[in-house]
Amino acid sequence: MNLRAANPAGMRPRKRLTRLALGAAVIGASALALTAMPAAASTLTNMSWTVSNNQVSATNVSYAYSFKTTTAGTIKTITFAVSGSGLGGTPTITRAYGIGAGTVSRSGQTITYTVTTGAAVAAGIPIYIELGGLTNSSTTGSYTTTITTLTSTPSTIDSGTTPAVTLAANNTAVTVTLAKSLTFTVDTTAFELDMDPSLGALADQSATVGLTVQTNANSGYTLSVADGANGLQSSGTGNPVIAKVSTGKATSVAWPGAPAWGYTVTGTGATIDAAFSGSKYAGYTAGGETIASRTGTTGGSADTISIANRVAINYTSASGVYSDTVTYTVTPNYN
Amino acid sequence: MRFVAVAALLATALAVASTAAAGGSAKPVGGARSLAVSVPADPVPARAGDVARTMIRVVNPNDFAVSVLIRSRTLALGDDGKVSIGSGPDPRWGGRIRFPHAALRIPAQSYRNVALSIRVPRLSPDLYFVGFLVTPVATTGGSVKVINQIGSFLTLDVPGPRLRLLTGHLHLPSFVLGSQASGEMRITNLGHAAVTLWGENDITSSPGGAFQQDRLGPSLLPVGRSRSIAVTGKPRWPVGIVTVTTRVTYPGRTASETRELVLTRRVLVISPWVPAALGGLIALLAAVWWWRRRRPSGNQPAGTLDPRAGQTA
Repeated sequence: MNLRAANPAGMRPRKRLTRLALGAAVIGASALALTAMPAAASTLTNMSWTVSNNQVSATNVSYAYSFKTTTAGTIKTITFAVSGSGLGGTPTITRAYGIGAGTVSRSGQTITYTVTTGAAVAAGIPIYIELGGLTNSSTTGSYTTTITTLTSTPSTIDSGTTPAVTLAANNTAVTVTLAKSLTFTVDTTAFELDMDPSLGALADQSATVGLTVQTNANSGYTLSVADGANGLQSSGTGNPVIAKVSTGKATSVAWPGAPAWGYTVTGTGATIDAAFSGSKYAGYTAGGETIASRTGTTGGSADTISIANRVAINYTSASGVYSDTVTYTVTPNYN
Repeated sequence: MRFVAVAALLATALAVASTAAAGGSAKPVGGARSLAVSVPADPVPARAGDVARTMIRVVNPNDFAVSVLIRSRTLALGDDGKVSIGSGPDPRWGGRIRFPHAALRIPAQSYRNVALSIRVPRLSPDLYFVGFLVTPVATTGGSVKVINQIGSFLTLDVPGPRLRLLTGHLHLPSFVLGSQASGEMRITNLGHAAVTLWGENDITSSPGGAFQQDRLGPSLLPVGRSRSIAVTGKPRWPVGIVTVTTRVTYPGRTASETRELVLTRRVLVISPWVPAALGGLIALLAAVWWWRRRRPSGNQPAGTLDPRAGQTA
């Protein structure tokens, strides 16, 4: 009994050691289990696969894959294993979202996207990868793609199989080509102003030219305007001109009165140059100046732009017939 | 006879009056005129030294025939997709592309497909732009003629490996008193070839951890040009730190590899309601404190002694 009473102090370290060993074993096992997690990988969600052409043996086909990660991890490679046989072509990267830059290659039925610098990708991140330059198998049938995300080890993070895509020989491939188009309308191709300095209403007149622009160019368009090198000029003796209201849009002004020739711009849809805000007028330039623009497609509704051309004369203006040519140029922007 | 004379005088007077009334407005001499030009949406493959064949279409939507002239023009590509047409032919393509010399007459409600053959010079792999101008022949008459012309361009793709390089800046404030952080990403092409880029804005907010992925579609950036893309990020709560990560991806030397430009900014966003509510709360507390200080001591229950009175007594 005394021994039992005397020994507890000597037994404790052993018990402690045992407990420590058990604890270490539990921690080790947990760590091992955690390390081995990728082996028990989760399934990718929201998986889809579309092909730009499902004819057998079709070349230069785009395969677009989209899916959502389930497990957080550092993705280094993504493999796309297409079922069956006969996949060909040299893949190119058309677009990739949700994943870093990388390279793509094909070996047999497997396309591998290798991320240049593996980066941590959280769970629930949507990834979209569109690959071009592929050649469909020559065998008709139903195909699936098994997508696997891997670490640099490599060990699987997530995996999943897409819904099937059918490659067929007896269907009709439809290709619809939409041209990049722009329509430009002017509501009047010429106008006359019958003016007389003896009456205010006849001495200061305006002619409004309505323009409409419609385009499917994704980056929109730019509208510029120019007039003849001589301006509003008479063919009479001395070739007198009616002075421009300003040297250009940079020096636009409120209407100063006679004698002057200028224009102001309003519109809907397009972005009108700020030089014309507050009904300011500018003189045309022979070199041309941008007066309106748009940064996106117009869609189904045309943009309307109104150009109010204004002429004011007085008794200093020589009588005669004055003429000019105003040229509006619309150019689609590059996308 | 007198009646006829009076009637004639009256008619003349009315005519003069109506002329005078209309004198303040312009007389349109020509009617409306529409014109449309279409080009291939995708670049035309063009191997250096070969002949590239393509087509443009000139459409006449009017109820009358229109004659047009098609002429080569220089192009100036600006930032953010802007294009301006020059006043003269492009010397690079002089003699290498032949547009119809004479005016093309396009019947009403019809179109003309204009086939073009381009002799491609020895050029380094890149995208090249061939500018042209479609001008309707001016209507005769009228003291001021109005011409609606369309400038456009064809894109040629000379294949081969390219040297592409983008640089960029993400302009976002570090603090915003508002509902969201707004800024822009400015990307510039410093490489030797045009780049078709795409990308995404990944936005997370803390607290809340909401993740938002805004995808940016493909857009072209010629050499030396810049493009601005609007960036916005909204916190989940009235106060939050919004982390905006902009990833711009573009092809590397070949189309089988991509490069990326990753820009990240953290912005503290505080809704204007927060300081307003905080100010209101402080004002309320101050008012309560002030009211309690000014409350007369007589409010104390009867029979209790004022401790200050006790001390002074």
